[in-house]
Amino acid sequence: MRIKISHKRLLVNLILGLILLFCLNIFLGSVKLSIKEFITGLYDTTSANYLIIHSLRIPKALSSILIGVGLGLAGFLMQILFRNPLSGPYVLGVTTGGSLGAALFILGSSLFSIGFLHPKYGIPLFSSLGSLTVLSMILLVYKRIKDPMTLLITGILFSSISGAVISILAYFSTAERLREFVFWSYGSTHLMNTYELLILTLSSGLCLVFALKNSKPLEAFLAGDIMAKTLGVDVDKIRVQIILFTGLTVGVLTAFAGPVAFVGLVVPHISRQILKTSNVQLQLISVCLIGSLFVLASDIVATLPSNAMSLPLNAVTSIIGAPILLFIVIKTKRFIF
Amino acid sequence: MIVLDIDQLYFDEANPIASGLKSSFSKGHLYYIYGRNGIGKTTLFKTLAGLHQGYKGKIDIEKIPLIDFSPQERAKKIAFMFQTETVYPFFKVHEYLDLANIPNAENSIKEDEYKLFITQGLQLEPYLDRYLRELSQGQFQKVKLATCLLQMTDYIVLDEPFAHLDLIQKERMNIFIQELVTNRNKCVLLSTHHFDLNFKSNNHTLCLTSTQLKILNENSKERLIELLST
Amino acid sequence: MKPYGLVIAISLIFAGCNSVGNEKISTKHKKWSPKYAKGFSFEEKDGVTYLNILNPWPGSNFKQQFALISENDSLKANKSLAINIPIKRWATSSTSHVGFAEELNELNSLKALSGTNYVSSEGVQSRINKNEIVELGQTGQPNIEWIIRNQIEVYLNFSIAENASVQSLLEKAQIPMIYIGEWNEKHPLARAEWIKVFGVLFDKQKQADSIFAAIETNYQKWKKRAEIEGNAPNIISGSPYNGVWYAPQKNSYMQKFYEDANLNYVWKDLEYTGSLQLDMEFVFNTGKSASIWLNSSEYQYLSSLEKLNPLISELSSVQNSGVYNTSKSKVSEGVLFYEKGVVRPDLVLKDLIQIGHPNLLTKHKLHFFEKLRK
Repeated sequence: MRIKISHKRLLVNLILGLILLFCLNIFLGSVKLSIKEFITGLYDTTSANYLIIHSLRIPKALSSILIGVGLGLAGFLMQILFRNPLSGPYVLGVTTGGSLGAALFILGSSLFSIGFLHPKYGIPLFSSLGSLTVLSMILLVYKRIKDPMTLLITGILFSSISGAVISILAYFSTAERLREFVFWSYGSTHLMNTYELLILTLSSGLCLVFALKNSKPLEAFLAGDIMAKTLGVDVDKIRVQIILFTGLTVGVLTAFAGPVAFVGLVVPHISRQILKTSNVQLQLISVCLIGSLFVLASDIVATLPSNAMSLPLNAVTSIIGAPILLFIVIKTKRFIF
Repeated sequence: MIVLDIDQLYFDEANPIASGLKSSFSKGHLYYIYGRNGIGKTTLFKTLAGLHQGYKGKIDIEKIPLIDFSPQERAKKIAFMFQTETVYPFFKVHEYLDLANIPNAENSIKEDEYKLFITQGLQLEPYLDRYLRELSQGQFQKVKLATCLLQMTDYIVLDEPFAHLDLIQKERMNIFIQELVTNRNKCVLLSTHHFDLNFKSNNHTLCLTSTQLKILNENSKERLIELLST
Repeated sequence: MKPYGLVIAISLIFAGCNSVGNEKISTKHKKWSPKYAKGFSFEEKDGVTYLNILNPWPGSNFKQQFALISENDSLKANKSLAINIPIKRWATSSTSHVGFAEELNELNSLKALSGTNYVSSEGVQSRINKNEIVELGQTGQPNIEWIIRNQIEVYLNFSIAENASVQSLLEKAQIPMIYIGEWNEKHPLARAEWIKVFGVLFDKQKQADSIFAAIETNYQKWKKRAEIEGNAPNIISGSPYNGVWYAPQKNSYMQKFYEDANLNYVWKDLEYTGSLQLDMEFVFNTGKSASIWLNSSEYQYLSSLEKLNPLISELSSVQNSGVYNTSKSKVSEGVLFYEKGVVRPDLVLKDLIQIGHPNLLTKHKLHFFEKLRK
């Protein structure tokens, strides 16, 4: 399979950009560091800034990358699954299930006395359970009605139900709990320790491996159900696998980072604009790189460098993502794939 | 050889399509299948592709029942070309052609000679780097045919391959398919409405009616029209 | 109660201990303003005494005026703006009012409130458990039907905006609704001074006056003692969540406490409105050396706090066990600081002095705060 030189060059540029943005991300923060302070902070364990760089900034940058990879992949796969450019990672409703799980823990703990569980474990646990429940229900529905359109509708249904239950929980909760839930729903790159980063890497990694191994069948999938089937692709099996791997990736992401908005929707579009190819393997790598870049950049903006305050992550990803999407739509003049 | 022995083709119990579809198709032969619109030509082909399950009877491919084939194994035996749904417009022509490698991933087309033969035979070389959405209907038709042929299967089933083609393109494609059948010992089934086609000795005319799949002994237009009117 | 008794009682306000704040506009019109509080005042016009409520929430120009009359008074004033003194059956939407009532021994007249599971007073809690006090429901939407049908004389409301719908409904039933704005006062003693309003309502002014005088004296005494201490330890407040530190709203009330207890609030010079979202980096940089951390979460163990962010364990206040929560009541989910702490700022001040300057108060047990354990 020949990869064009221009594609190779683009990918190399993206990788270089990623390294650069990673360094920029850990260099900038609410505490202003000079270059000298930054470099001493990197290796000198006694320096005042060592802790900030190693315990806060580096994990934050790593989790930004992983979030970008996971969401980019999930968005890309969803757009293939539904052959619809408006699909994002959340279209299956898995994230709302995760939100419901988190809401049950945060808002419901006064009702259900789950107070003994520390939120650091409780929130990811309940969120994962919520995501898992919705994912299982979706797969069950799909096994009975093998129609992708039904998937979209069930996704909307589950989202609505979860949303309604969350409203009820919120209505009866205290102000402090409600605030905590709202803050969770802003999405966050913070606070991932080594274990969480490993789990994220595992889930996104599995998803990537699956997609790379099945890149050809996924391409055939793009050509239509009939074409794919005549080429020998087990269309049903692939669909179930896409749902499964995407659901797992999104579920894990939501559990640790909260529902991060817009990334999964806009990154595949950017990737398609830059790498004008339908080669799934190339697009997969590109989507991972662009996703990381996007979240790293958003994280830098959200930190409001040299300022004591910071912005919620979702606000930044939406503010940056929406105009980009708009620009792409106008540029291609029609909102096709 | 493909042996068709279908008593009844149907959508479901309440909606029958055609019956008495009994015929056999051999390598080295080209079969033109005619029939009224909606009579079930596409459905018959879909049944062969495993896309349609509603039938009573048997279909054997080289003595093995069709249902015993997994999708991948079947894709290595028969290639199909349908009037497909809307396609992802960002496919470049050469990328779309590469899809043909999927069933044969183990030995992907290293036979450049064959690939060249196909792309030249169908005059696709000027378009290889274009996007699908830039092509006209006729050009896209030829791309689809090329992808189908590049699967390098022994049996090829084409649903209205001459649609959207102008007179010259139609003739060219017809001759190309005939050469393929003769020189490469393929078995080709195709459905069409066009009659004035160059006819060879290893070509056969079939007419699909609601009660039978009749093979005509001679290539007679009058006889065909007579059958179609029944 | 005989009318002249009421007049005598109320004129004590005007003749009384705090002659500062008296304003004689004319022989028939006198005004009295409290020493610290800005949200209420009293007036006497043409022989009738009025309670004025002024600006009960931030940024408002809202005013209320209530005529205080005795049962037998033949005043034909609009009944919704007149209050029969003393009130015998009242309801409230805020647990802080319980603190005032408790201080004046007026718990039996309280018949209903919003948030019964947040009342920290044991006396009130036991009455709640015996169903002698009814739950009114959410603060903004109390069970008005119940109020109307159970001969409630006065409804005390805590509100951040005008609650016109509730107010008009109650007015139709001729039940006065008083916006109690003690929480909007900036000075700790100003909030405590509202006890005088409660004193008037329950016809216990003398008691209220003397209680407040004692609180004021105690407060000033301890303020002076803290002042002469040489160093002011650094203090931070707030709670981390997901790498962001949420510090409470810029709050002159707490600032005054810190000042008077001779504590240095590390972020007192930051300009902002609303609550503050600080980056953990910034907090670590500026607050690392603070020896005291006034937490605002529900965690009771330092180890739970440390799980929230890797830098928490590096804070001085955490390493030296200087982290405090507002303590919960033993009988409910209520927080004492928001109830009794409102009416007894002198005790709060002592607590803070004990935390910041332990050498001054060796035998004092913390009333409103508790130290987090490992």
